[in-house]
Amino acid sequence: MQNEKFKPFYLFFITYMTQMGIVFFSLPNIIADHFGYNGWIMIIPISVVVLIHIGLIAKIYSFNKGESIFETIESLNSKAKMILMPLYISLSIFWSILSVTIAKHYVHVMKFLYFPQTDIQWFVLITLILTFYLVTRGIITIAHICTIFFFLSGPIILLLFYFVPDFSFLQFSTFLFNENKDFYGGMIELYTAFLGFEVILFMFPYISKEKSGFKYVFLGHLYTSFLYFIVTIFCYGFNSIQQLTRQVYPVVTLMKYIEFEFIERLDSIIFILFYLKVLITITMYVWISLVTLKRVVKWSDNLIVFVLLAVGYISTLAFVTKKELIILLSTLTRVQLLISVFLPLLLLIIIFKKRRSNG
Amino acid sequence: MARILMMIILILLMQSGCMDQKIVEELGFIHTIGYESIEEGEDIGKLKVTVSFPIAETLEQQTNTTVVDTPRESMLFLNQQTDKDLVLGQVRSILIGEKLAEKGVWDLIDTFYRDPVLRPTVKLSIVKSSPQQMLSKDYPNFQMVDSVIEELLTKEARLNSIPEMDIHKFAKDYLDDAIDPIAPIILQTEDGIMSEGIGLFSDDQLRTSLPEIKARVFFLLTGEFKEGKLLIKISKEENVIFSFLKNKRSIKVGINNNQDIDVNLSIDLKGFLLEYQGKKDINNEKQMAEMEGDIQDYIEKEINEILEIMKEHQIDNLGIGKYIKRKMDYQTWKNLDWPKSIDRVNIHPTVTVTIIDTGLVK
Repeated sequence: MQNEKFKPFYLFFITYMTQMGIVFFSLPNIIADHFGYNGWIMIIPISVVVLIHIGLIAKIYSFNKGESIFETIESLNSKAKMILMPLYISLSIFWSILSVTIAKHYVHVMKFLYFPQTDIQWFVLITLILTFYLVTRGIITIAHICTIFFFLSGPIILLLFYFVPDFSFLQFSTFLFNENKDFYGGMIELYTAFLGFEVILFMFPYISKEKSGFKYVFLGHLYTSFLYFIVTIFCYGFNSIQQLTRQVYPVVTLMKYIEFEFIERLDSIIFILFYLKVLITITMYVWISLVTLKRVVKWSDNLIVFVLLAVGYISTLAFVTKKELIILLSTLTRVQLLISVFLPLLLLIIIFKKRRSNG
Repeated sequence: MARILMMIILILLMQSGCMDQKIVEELGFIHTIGYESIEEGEDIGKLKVTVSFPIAETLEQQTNTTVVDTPRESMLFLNQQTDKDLVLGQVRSILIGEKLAEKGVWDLIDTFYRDPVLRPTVKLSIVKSSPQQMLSKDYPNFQMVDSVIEELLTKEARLNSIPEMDIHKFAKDYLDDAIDPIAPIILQTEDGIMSEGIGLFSDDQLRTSLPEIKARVFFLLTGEFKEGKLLIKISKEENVIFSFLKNKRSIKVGINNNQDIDVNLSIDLKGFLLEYQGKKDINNEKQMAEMEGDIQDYIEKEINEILEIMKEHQIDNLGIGKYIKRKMDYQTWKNLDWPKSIDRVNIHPTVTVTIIDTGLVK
């Protein structure tokens, strides 16, 4: 398993599927709430910054020549492992908690919107069992399944572009960012919507070497940005701005508005198919916590994943209401944002230091 | 072992399909809800809520009524009156009594807009008189009045005599600061129902209404009127029915030193003359040009009347504010306090009418 590699084009699907999450449904509201009039413009600069961020990771990849980032970190100093061990453990526990929280949040929204009788804990448990099977299969299988899930859930979003109800450019107005609340907070919030690309850092040893193979990560990110951008534009033209700041899930309302002769309430189908995307996001985070914990303990994969999921499940058991979950999730994603910024920087510093000492 | 485990998990996963079970025969799919405020008697100030839902076995509709304090409470009481489990997922239209609409409807619409079960496309209309009487009366010509109401609303909206209004659009216009919402008005007649034009709102309160003939001119102004017929009464003896093929509307806003706002509304119409009663010779070119002028004057007069009504009530249901907003910076717009300042705006309508053809007979 260890030496198996996948073709770089899978990176497109992995990046897109990990980035895109349930935030897709509430993004226009987040943007309208934080940036006010014509806030959709902010997606462009934030997306460009993320692009630079991915550029850093690409740089590390080209320096590393396919070496795992753990080896890069540990090669600095042989005694460093003493400090690194607790760091690895806390990181992997953090990621397992993050992924269970993402699962729980999705199930919570699903329960509220479509299936009021669903038992949240039960459904999360089922999700985690699926995740367990996915993660223990190894990254190659995950990459393949990612691709299948992409084609299952991807095209249905394009339906949106085919039929846009009641769109008017008049709704945009000429004001820029008026009536904004917490502009900088919004930038962070929007940035976290793009998170997920940083899992690529841990995949270096599994990507088969090809020239400019990393471009697929950029493409995946651009596809996510494109969808975020389009859906926000649609929502700005479909709602009045004051209305947009009041709707929690404007994309769900937008989709509810689409009615064909033979089908209506398309939103439920699209939302349920989003489960596949959420499943991939969870799987990716559990997988990176698996590879991190593997540096510390010498257990079998099954045991590690089981322990991680159990820890994640138990530690989020107490969070039940929507408010608690949202606070927890936004705290965790902010921490994840810090990790995804500082980890590549740390790696770059180590790489440069090594290069200098090597002459 | 692993296989058995997989089987168990698979069975458990399948079981989750049985979680949210709903049996159609046991449900009462509410089709239409009517709200009105009680104006007299001991329950004065309370809400009277009427629901109608179809019964599958008899193909007839059943109506139930209750008197409550808040909209949501009504579901509890209405449920007690029937053997069906009443659900809101298939609601098609909401009828609001005129008196209630005058007091304000946002609380009501907000409850519906908040509920994930309801669609945002639920139709909204104002009923002159009482929704309860409208829904529960036996009509000789149709069995299910609720679906007739829904179809009437859709059809008349297509013909541009009433607006197509749903809770999403109402919320959009109500929350927007540059436009006031509108809603269709329907009426109960001796043996049926009919549409009665547009109700104009200020915020969420019904202020006044436009009759059907003015309603069509109103839609010329919003630019939604693309095709349809218009009855034009030039004088007592002269009647024209004009059928539009093309309607171009443009709004230009000019602002001088922030005090004077000029809005130029221009409407360009092209169409057929379908019917004419009067003394003019419709084959004479000169007289045709005269007639075009008459139609223009008539439409301009109607437009000015609509604008007068809006200025009188300080409302902007046309959305002129949206065009003015585009020409201003944020602070000036906020200081304008739209639509209270609609008095200060000079609106100049210009209508150009071209008659393309007068029919098959010379």
